[in-house]
Amino acid sequence: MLRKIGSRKVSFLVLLGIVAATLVFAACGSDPTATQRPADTAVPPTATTAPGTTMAPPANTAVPPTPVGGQAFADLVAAAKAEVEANKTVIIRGGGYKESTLSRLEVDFRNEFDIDMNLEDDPKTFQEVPTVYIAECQAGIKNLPILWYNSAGTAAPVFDKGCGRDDIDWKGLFSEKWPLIGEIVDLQPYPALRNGALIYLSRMNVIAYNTDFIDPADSPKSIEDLTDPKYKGRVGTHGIGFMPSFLQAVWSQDQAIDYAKRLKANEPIFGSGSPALAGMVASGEVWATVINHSFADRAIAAGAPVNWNIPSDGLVIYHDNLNLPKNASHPNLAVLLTAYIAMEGVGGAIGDGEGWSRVMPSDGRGTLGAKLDEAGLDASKMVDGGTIENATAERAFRGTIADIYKG
Amino acid sequence: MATSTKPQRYNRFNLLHNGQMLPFIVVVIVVALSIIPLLGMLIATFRPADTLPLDTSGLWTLEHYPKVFLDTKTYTILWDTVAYAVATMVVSLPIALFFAWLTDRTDMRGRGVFYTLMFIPLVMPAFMIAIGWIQLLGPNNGALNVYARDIFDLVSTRGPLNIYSFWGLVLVTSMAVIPTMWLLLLGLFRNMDSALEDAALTSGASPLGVFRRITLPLLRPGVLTVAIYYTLVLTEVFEVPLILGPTAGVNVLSVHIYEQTTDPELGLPVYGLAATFALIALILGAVLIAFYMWAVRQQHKYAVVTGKGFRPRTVRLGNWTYLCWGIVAAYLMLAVVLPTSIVFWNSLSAFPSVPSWASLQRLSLDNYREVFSGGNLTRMVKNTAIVAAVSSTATMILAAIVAWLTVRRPSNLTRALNAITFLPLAIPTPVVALSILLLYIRSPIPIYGTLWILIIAFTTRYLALGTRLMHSAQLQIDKSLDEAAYTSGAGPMRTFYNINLKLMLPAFTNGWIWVFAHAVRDFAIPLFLATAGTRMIANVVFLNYATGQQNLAVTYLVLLFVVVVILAALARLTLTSGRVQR
Repeated sequence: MLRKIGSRKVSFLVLLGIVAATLVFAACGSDPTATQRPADTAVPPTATTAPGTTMAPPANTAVPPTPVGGQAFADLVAAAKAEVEANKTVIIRGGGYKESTLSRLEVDFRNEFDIDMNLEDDPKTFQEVPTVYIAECQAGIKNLPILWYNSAGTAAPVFDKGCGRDDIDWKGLFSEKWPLIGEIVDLQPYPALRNGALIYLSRMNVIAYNTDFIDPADSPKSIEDLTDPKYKGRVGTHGIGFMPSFLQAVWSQDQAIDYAKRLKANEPIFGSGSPALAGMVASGEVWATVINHSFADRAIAAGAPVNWNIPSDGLVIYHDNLNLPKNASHPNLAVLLTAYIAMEGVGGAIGDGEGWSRVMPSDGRGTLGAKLDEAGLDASKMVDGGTIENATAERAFRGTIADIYKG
Repeated sequence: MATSTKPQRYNRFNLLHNGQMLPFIVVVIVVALSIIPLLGMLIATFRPADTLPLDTSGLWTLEHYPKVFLDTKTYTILWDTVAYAVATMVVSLPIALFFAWLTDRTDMRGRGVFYTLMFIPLVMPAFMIAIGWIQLLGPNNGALNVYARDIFDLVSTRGPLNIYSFWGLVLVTSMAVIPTMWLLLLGLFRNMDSALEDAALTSGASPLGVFRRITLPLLRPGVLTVAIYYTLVLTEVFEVPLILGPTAGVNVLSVHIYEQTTDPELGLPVYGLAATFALIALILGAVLIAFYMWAVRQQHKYAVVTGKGFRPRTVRLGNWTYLCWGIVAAYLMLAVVLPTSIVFWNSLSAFPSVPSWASLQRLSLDNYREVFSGGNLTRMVKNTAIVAAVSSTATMILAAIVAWLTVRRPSNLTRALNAITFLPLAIPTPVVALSILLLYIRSPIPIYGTLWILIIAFTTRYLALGTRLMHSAQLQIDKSLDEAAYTSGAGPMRTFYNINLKLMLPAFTNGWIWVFAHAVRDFAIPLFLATAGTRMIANVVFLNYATGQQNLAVTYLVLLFVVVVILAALARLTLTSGRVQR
């Protein structure tokens, strides 16, 4: 038998060879663009930097950290250019954009500012990004991805823990280049983020429906319509119950609970978020549901038989931010690119590449403005999903709704 | 079969004897790997909302414990979890056992094809199987329901079948777990002497009778370890219950924990609450480990590779072949052909749709063009291959040494080691990933942002399975072989390498392939730990799914399992030296 074992010695040596080869390969495969722990050399904070902030220069760059607050636009562009010349790889986080979208953004940005960067996306969803940034910040990691995408409610903890940039004068820097920037700065519902984040998209929870099964003329116009027995077993909803929990702000808690009970009686199909529910509506498994309008728009752009209405009985709006962390690898480029994306990129490369529909106060509001007017909604029926003042209480109420759904 | 004797202790096996430091180093590594997620989880249970387990705020709390343990809802969830796990086990284990026997102990034609096909569901992420089944058996517009309504001219616009049900959930989960169970059980068959089966067949017993009365009892300890392992796994898996469970009215613990870690728009996830719920799984795990230890005490009764004429034998199926192939075909249809067909169909489409002549007009290769047009694909494939290969190799080497130590040198230390490697299985993957992130990010050795942190995370994650697999294989190697080696002057490590590891090579290979496939498809760990330069294919699959680009997600998936099936087939050919074809 031992002879038989010996006959497989060659195979086992091959296995050991694979081990050795992969170990060597892995050692060589370390991420050259990865965030790094700082050297022990301290970088003195600049005069205009907020207390407690330390900004490190990007790796292998001789460019000194440049003050941002109150800096002239031209100086900012020059500093950003110097940062990119020192380190061409620029990483952003949480957008989940296609490579083709990022390539287009690179080209557009280069045409605008003559800055030639390699833009890469750190592959994380908005769920993980705040946790990872806080972990990196508390561990003292430098050269972080320069900006990230999050709604105000999700980004707030990063700022609360002192890990977000809060020293940027957006209006002072960019009003001349983009006169409308003041409007989106003022749109920011979360005061602590006003000097560190910029709204670039607004999303609404709308009623999406499949036009193969529901005639637009007969489509659900209100959230209440989804409890109609004709949709029994065919409506979809998010299982954790965040929509009624938000709408308590315009309904009252009792009304929200009552609604959740009636929706549950209509035997909804539960989805794990707007993307999943949008897919179900597109496929026809769900006929109507409340989802983020961006995903409904994306399905429409793909040719799916989908349309959507603004609910007349209450609307939740989220503002998606571009947020800037402390310790970014390219601090000046981060500011410039953020403003560029908010004012130009989202209406160009990102809008075209990703199917997002832009919502800006002064740009005609696109299709959204017309739909808002059509629904006849006033501010009293709108809830800003980014202004969560008491997350603990909100979580508890959301748990109550989720229990009703699961009951 | 060896007779039962009380385990003897050999001084030569002492961990630190005669400078035998390697086992000691392995023990330290394994304990370190296993303890980190445990520590992370336990610390998290005492941290308030909006803080991380190692947050510098210094705030501590006990608030999660009453919320979890004094809430009756917890016990309702626990009941659902146990019902779901037991039902899935009852459905899947016998099928997996039967398939392992067919693959390894019979002359069924086309076994090689069957073996390869089993890797397709193995590498498909469970949530994609679930989505595939919703598109097949969704009550409103599932393809099979639509076809059934058309063919049978049914008036109803719903059904007739509904995947959103308890048994729908069990069916889909079973389809997803059977390949892994089959792989685990395959190693047991390969190390089993067929002398008793030969005797039974010579006495006129039928093949199925031999399987029931001889093969099954011999495999009992190994099967028991698989059953225990999977009971624990089924309390932790969440993809299929997340997608089908809430609508079916089945609320399991894993989904509840997952929801605590992904609550949108409300700041940081409440990791503390999630970790406290996970303690329940840990307690359940402790009970199962005690049960497992009881099973281990029976080990010497079942050592069947004795070095005395060990020769696995092929059972001739005769006319049973057709029935067996019918069962195999039915399984492959449900687990592979139907869900992969719909996934492939959707990879050619801009949005999910029921396959029809009308929708055929809309098919295109646009998704594939988008995937191949990017410059990151090569890097992602390279990263994925490196991480999966190194993780699976490291996992299985560590697992083999741990199994050898725990079986050949039973002591309180090795029993504790055995238990410790088991426990991390009960910890939710997001908590494991978070713990590794928080602890290794502060490491003086700069591994954060490199492939190494992913390799460490996957090794930590899959060590439990590797150890179970190698442990059950080690149980079946009689210690008389070791004694013969010692008598011939070999040392412990040489004995381990030349005798045990080589005899366990089939189980080692299967475990290697399993870890490789799971490291390739796992989402939770790369989501936390991969960076722009270390991204894996799983990152973009999940990212596209999470951002509503499901067509691109399924396109990456199609490419993913094509690549993995090829790599797994190559690994099998290399590592098993054609043993399957015997």
